[in-house]
This record gives sequence, structure tokens and C-alpha cells, in this order.
Amino acid sequence: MRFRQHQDQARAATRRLLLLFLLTVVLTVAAVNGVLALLWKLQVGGVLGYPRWFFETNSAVATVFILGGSWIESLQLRRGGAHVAQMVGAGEVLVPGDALERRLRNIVEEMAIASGLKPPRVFLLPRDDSINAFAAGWEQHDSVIAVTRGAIERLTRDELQGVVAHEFSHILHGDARLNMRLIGHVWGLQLLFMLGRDLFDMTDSRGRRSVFVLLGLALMGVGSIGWLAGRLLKAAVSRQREFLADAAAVQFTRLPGGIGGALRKIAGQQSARVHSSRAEAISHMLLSSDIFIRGGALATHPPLAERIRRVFGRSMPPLPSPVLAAPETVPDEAGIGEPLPWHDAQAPVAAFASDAHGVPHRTTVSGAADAPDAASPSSTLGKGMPAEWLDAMLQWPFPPDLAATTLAFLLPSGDAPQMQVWRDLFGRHAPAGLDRLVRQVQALGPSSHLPAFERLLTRCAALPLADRRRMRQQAHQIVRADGRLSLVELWRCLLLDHVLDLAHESVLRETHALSLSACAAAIGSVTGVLAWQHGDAGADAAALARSWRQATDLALELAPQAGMDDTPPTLAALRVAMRQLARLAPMRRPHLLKTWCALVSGDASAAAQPVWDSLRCICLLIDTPLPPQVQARFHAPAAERA
Amino acid sequence: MLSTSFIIVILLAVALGMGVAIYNRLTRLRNAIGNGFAQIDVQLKRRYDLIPNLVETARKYLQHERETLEAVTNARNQAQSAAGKVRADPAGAGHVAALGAAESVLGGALGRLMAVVESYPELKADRNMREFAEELTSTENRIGFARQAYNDAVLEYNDAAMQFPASVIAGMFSFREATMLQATQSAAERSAPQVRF
Repeated sequence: MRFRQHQDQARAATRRLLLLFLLTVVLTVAAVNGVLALLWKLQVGGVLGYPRWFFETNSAVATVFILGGSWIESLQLRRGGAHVAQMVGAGEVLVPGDALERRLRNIVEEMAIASGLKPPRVFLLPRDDSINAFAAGWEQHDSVIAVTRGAIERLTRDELQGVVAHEFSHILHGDARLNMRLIGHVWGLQLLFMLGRDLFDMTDSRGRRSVFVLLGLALMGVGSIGWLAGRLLKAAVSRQREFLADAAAVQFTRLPGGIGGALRKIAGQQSARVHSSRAEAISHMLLSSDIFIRGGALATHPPLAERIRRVFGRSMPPLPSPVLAAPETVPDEAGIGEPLPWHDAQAPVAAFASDAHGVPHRTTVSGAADAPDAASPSSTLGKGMPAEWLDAMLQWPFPPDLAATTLAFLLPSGDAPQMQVWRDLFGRHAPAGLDRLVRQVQALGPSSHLPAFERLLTRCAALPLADRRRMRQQAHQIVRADGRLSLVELWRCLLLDHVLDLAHESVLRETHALSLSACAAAIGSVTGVLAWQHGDAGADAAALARSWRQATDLALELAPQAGMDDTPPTLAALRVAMRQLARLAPMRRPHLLKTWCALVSGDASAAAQPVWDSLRCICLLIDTPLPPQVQARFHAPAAERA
Repeated sequence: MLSTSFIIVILLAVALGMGVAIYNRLTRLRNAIGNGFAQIDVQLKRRYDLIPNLVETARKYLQHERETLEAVTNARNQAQSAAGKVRADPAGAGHVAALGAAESVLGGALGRLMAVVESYPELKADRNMREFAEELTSTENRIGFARQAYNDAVLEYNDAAMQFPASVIAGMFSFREATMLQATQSAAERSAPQVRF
């Protein structure tokens, strides 16, 4: 394989690209003109002609947009490969890092030796769990390689070597330069579409759409021609280069199993998406684009199966890609994906009676009993005392004790085993500081507890993936401390998984949403849990559950479920039910929530805060806006200062 | 009508131009080989520097494996002095061969040491040891890739120098064929290893 030959080919491809781009611009402008002329005819009627300068204005505006956009983006990109990497949210890997990052740097240096290039700067996309990588840069000396966190965690050393070799080949063959130019061109073509989309998505502070929404739609319609053209351009140029890069990876490493294994793992994973708003711009530079758009003229990459076949010489099935134990953890310690103690989850909800009375995770400073407060919800509203410290915690973007504070919300009242585990985990802080933190967290009123927890979780969602996983592990450790799992703890853990985006390990890729009748069993389970919680697990809780289920079936027009009986529901069943409800069609969810709210608030005895907590958690877990009755039961912590 | 002497002059000029281009190309490829060899040297030096730290870290745990540690240290010293000799006098008799032999002894000793480390779980879990294990793996890979890159450079040079018409220029200016690195020097090692229980 002669590298010089391929570089010459790449240069020729650049010239072809320019010609193709100009052709595409001409065609796009013509198409835009055509669409606008059609619209004009439909609006005004066929009798009148077109206004003066109609076509000229359209052409001029469209051309200015496209060429201007390309030019501006090229100016931006002139800052080099590092700029592209940072644009997508990658951070540079500097020495010293953790063991996985060090291994990545070593692999990059090894590949630099094998290919004869100077080692490029290495970037890491810390928030992405999928396996992906790209290389960017104008010249060899300014190139960068970026790899996702998922890639360094899920690939073996050989496979990671193959991926890095593939990216090196892009740099060596001049593909990186070609791709950078392509970003600029395609940006111009897609500018109209993106402008329309931004206008369409623009909402004011109250969440209502702006008045430009129709204009945005129109621009999106017209600009979609440009978007399509951009996609076709990318597809025409970048597909062949991927085969070449795969072959070069095998040549550098002398190991087909390296890049081949990585491709097989990509074929087996759910999604190759890079979580960034600018990810579309670099989709042609990634190792593998989103697998949902397989094949066809719009694909920026050749089909994975064909790539695997060319590397191995025969077809190979996909590989699963679990997270591998990092080199720095002895395999026994890596309990990353360990589930909650489900042996206990078969116990019914009613057994955890302490949760039914009041809010066990709140205590006044003196540690008084909670039961009297539960009876009169109105007296607990407005009792929260957010001290300045907790307030600051809620307002700082990344306070240093974020994990400690967030996990403090998992602690029950009093001196429980969980408290000891929590202290051990965050023992590097002074004991007095920990005490103060716990007091402040537990001094929040029951109506502010959950909103504060959510706010902190939202902050944590921006942390790198490794930190989020660690938080999850710590949360499970705390919850497991007393050997039992309570309903409140389950809600908190599910919320943690959901907000920190760690749940997709267990979620299958679903292609269609479920209707209400398909979720009838799940709805019945959750109704039962709410009823048992509301009924304080008393004698008439079973009857309450029955009547609520009947009411729900009536309101939602569901067939009565056969399997529902009077035994209290289990936590495991609840978890399964929530997972199914997450697939419910989005348009049906508000109706479901309204039905439940009506049941809870319509009951004669006033519902305790825990039931409202459950309802709020359900809303959050299935991504539904809070109904007003639920909203009224909670106060954001800052609002209680006065 | 062009005179024949004019045509001959033009042909000679073209031939001269081609000759210059070929000569430059061969020179560039030959320099790449030298660069490749220097790269191997750099990585070998990295290995020599890494080994004493490795031995020190292991010594705390491997009280009863003194012979293994001593074998590694001795082999490393031998290889380092052999490399020094080669650097000082590359064309000297048998220096490169001696370096190759010392390297293979060192490789064997290191392999035995890492096998011993596997059976001491405390040592294996030690943080420094894990870092060294990764660095050692990387260094062995780098040496392998450096040798591979060297052989690739030799291949490209040989292809260029031995094909016609470049072979003419090569002959005129003594661009000789370069030799590739062999995987192992001794015939005994080349034979398949015997497994004895």
C-alpha cells in the first residue's frame, strides 16, 4: 500500500469535492426557487405572474446563505482540529489521567510509531457511553484524535489499538483535511434548515412558542432541500474512505481482530450517537454513524456488515460490548452494574410500613417523630429552613461536595446504618461539616425534599460518565446498608438512574410506543402501589386498591386485568411496571397522570406527602409535565426563604 | 526541422532530470531507514530505564524469587552495554548480532518475571505494579511497532532501489540493498518451543 498514492488520490478527491459542492449549490438554489414559485402559485393563483425580481432575489438570498455559511464555518474551522474536538464537547487527555486514559495515550504513541507520524493530541468525549472515535485536522502536525469514554471502557487493548490505527489512517491519507472542508461546505447547505429549526424551537421564558414558528416551519421545508444535498455530498465523498481506513488499520496493527472486533462490538451496541448538539456536523468523520440510517444513498458510512466482511474475509456476527474491568481495579471490586438487592424486593410494599407514615427521610433537628405531621399536610408546608450553605449548593454549578450532598438525600431519619456508610464514603470531609450537611438536608420540609434532590441530580447530570457511575455505585452501597429496600429508596434510585442517564444498559431499543391498553397491567400495578401507600397498609388498603383499579380502568377505558388480586404489590413488579410505562405513547401520559391525581385528591382522607412524592417521581420517570395538583404540593427550596 | 544534436541535448536533459529525481528519492528512503533504526533504539532505551523500577517494586513482594529478579537485572545490564557498543560503532564486527542475542535473553527473563507476578495476587493488585505492567506492555508493543516500521521502510527502499530504471542510479551511487530485522538471531530459538511438564 503506497501512502503517497493515496494522498494524491485524496487531493484529487478534494478538487472533485469542490466541483460537486458548486454543482450542489446550483441545484439547491434551483430547487429553492422551484418550491417558492410553487408556493406563490398556490397562494396567489395562476393568473398573475411572478413579481419582479422574484427569481433573482430568491437565488441571491439562497446563494448568499449557502456560500456565506460555508465561508464563516471555514473561518471557524481554520483554528484547527482541536477546535472541532472542543466544539463537540471533548476534553484533552493530559498526563496524568486515570489508568484508562493513560492506556489510551500509550496506544496513540504506539500507533504513531507504527505509522511514522508525530503523535497527535488526544481528546476524550467523557459523556458518551457508545463506542466511537474521530480524527480532525488540516495538517498532520495539527491533527487530533478524539475517542469516546465508552470506547476506552468497552474495548480491549487490541480493539482500541485498531480504532486508533483507523483514525491515524484518516490523518495519513489526507481524509482529515477533506472532512474538515466538507464540514464547511455542508454547514452552508444546511444553514437554512437549521435556521428554520431554531426559529421553530424557540420558546420564551414561559415555554410557549414564539410567533415565528410558522416562518421557521417554512424555512425548514425549503431548507430541507439543502439538508438533503448536504447529506448526499457527505455520502458521496466519505464512504469509500472508510474501507481504505479499515484496511490501513489492519496493515498498521497486523491484526484484523483489532479493528474487526471493534466493528463487531459497534454492530452489537444500541446506538452510536454522540451526545452533542454539533454531532451532526461531524457525522461523516465518526468511526460509525448512527446505525438507524443504515445503507441507502444518505448513509455517510458503508454498511457495518460489509466493513466487517472485508476485514475478516467472511461475515461475522456482532459482539456484545459490556464495560470491561479497568486495568486499575482488581476484577472483584468492579461491581459497576450490580443491581439493587432484589431478594428483598419480593417483600410487599406494605411491609415497609414506616414509609407509609409521614416522610421517614425528614427529621426535625431534635429527631422528633414524624407521625403527627403526616396528618396535616398544610402544617408541613413552609417549614423548610434552607440555610445559606445548602442554598449555595443549589446555585453553584459544580460545588465540590455535590456527590456527598446529593446522596445525603438517600439517608433516612435517625441513626441508621445508611448514615454510617455515607460517612465512610465521604469521610475525607470533617465530621462536623458532614453533620451540618445532614442536618440541613433533613431540615428541608417534606415539600422541598424532592425538588431539591432533583435540582442536585440535574447538576450531577453534567458530570463525566465515570463520576456518574461512581455516584450510582455509592448510592447502591448506601441503600444496601440496612439490608432492606424501601419504596422511597427505590424511587430515589430510579430517579438517579433516569436523570444521570445511566438506565440504558437495561433498556432495549424500542421502535414503537405503547397504547394505554397495552400498558394495562403496568397501570394496574402502579395504581395498586399508590393505593397501598395511601391506605397506610391498613386493613382496608386492599379494598382501596380494588376500587382505585376499577376507577382507573373506567376512566382510561381499559379491560379489567385478570391477574390483579388483593395481595400487596412488590417492588420488583413496580420496577417492571415503570419500565413499561416509560414506553407509553407520550400523548397518553398526561391523561393517565390526571386520572391518578383525581383519585388521590378525590379521596376523603387527605393524602400524605409520600403519595404525592410517588406521583411526582412517576411524572419525572416517564417524562410528563407535573399536573397542577402535584405541583401545588411542592415548594422549590429557594422559595421558602421568605 | 530540429537538428539531431538539439534532440540529443533535450533527451540528455530529460534523463538527467529523471536521474536527479530518482537519486533524491532513494536518499530520502534511505534516511527513513536510519530514522526507523533510531526509533527502535529509543524504545529499547525506554525499556532499559523501566526495568530497574519494576524490579524494585516487585522485590518487596517477591522475597523468595530472588533468582528471577537477578536474572532480569543481569540481562538488562548486558543488553544495555551491548546497545552502547552498537551506538558507538555500528559497523563493528558482530555488535548488532550481540545486541540481538542480549535482547532475546532479556525478553525471556522478563517473560518469566511477569509469569511469576501472575501467581502473587497481592503483587498483581499493587498500584505501582499495575502501572508498570501497563507501561511494560506498551513498551513491548512500541518496540514491536518500531521494528515493523523499520522493516516497512526497508521494504519501500528495496522496492525503489532494485527496480529498473532506478537500479541503474542505485548501482552508480552505491545504494545497496538493506537487510530487514529478523525476529530472532539464533537457530535454536527459531525452532518450536518444547513444552515439558
